[in-house]
Amino acid sequence: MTSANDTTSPGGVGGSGYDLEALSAYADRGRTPAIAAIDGNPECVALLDSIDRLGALTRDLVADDAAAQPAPDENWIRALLDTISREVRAGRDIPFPDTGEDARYVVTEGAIRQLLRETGDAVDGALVGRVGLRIVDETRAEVELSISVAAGRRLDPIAAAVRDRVAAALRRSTPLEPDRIDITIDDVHVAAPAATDTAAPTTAEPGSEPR
Amino acid sequence: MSDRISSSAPAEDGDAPAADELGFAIDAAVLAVPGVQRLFPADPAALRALQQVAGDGAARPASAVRSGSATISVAIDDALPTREVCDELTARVREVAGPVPVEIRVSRIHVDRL
Amino acid sequence: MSALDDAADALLAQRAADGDEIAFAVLVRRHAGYLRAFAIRLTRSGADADDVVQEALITAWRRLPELREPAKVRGWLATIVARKATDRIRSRRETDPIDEIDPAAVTDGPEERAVLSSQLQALAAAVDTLPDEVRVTWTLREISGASYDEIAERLEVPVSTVRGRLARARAHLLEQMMEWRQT
Repeated sequence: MTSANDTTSPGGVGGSGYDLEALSAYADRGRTPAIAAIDGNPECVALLDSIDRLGALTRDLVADDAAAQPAPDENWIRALLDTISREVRAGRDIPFPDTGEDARYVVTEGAIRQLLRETGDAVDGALVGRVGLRIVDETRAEVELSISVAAGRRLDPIAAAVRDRVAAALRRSTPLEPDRIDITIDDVHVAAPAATDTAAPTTAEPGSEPR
Repeated sequence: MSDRISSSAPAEDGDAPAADELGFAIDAAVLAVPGVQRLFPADPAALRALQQVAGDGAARPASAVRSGSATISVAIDDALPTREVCDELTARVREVAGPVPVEIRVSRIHVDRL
Repeated sequence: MSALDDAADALLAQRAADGDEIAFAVLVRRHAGYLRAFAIRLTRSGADADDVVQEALITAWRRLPELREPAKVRGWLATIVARKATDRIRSRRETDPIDEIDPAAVTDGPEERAVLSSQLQALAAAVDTLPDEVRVTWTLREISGASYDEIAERLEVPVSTVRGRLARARAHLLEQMMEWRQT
């Protein structure tokens, strides 16, 4: 294949009238809208195919590099998490009532939301998505949780378990009493038996109930 | 950047090395309470400002003692009711700092997975 | 949190945007290798790549609430890495006008990995010999899939310059790969 050497010839690649730069841009546009003079010219097509293969090979190279990277050091991750400011997401302070004049206990909104996430996650087959927390007056809260349920599991028992645990967690660990807890199931996920690789998993398998 | 200075002088309000001593003592007492996972800086903005001026060579206590009152920020787990843990924390802080007002901020609650 | 380890990117990104640092840690573990490989291709320096990825992740945590499509968090992270990497290359050039980066200093390069196919090795060697701005343009296009407009904005050059550099990269790489094929 000698098309690369023809890129400066006056007639363009293969005499098509299009030079390498034009073909390179055409490849990046996904060869649309189609240009007959290019698509019908064998040397142009060969060059376009080489350009595509080169891109694919480059992505293979980075994927290979990525796979060969050592897993990030856990200490490094911990240091990273420590660097990230928690104050940004802490939200308001929610105080316990009646602690006397000389003591003040507060739980941050961020702590409560994270508590609800982890409480929901602890239910077998559930994964928490969004957490909505509305504080009605000082100690009453309305909670909305959206959860993803593991494929093939029955939805009602899982939702009920999440609701029960969330209520218990609020009462035990926060100043808040739940007025209402709405659980919405808006996704299905595949629960892998054990994480063996780091590839991002897909959500629902084809054929399972999506929503 | 000086090391933490041990002072035998009595602690006075605004006496920085002594307040640090007290802060470290409170940190140690708090970490010993069942249910406490870790401490956060009680006053992160002040801490950052100090670190910018003094460099981050010197360790600072997480707990803050200001105007005679003690403030702590903690992560706890959910094995015990939060209020109970806070009561215990208050008692332990007062063992170290005397009958001072105490403010406890619970910044994180870990769920026990068992 | 083993359930979270298997969660999809979209859920993790959503939760991290909400403040869940555990979910963020899962995302970091999952994508750090790719981000580091990408950063190395851009900066040609393992040490710089480490700094760039760390800065990018800290920025990402702060800006996660701005991510409109949580499922695309990986590409979004790569975009931030690209920004930090190109900033670093630019400032490197300002302080060290002579390019002191020694190709052999990229210790994590595939030249050191016997398992890499000779074809990929040839490609890696060829990419490394591209001039900085051509290589960066190429990497942004072929790895992170950025559009010409996005690359132009990122590198502060006209779109026509982007087009020219990509053509130059392809001419050079195709030539090099053909030579490899003939050896």
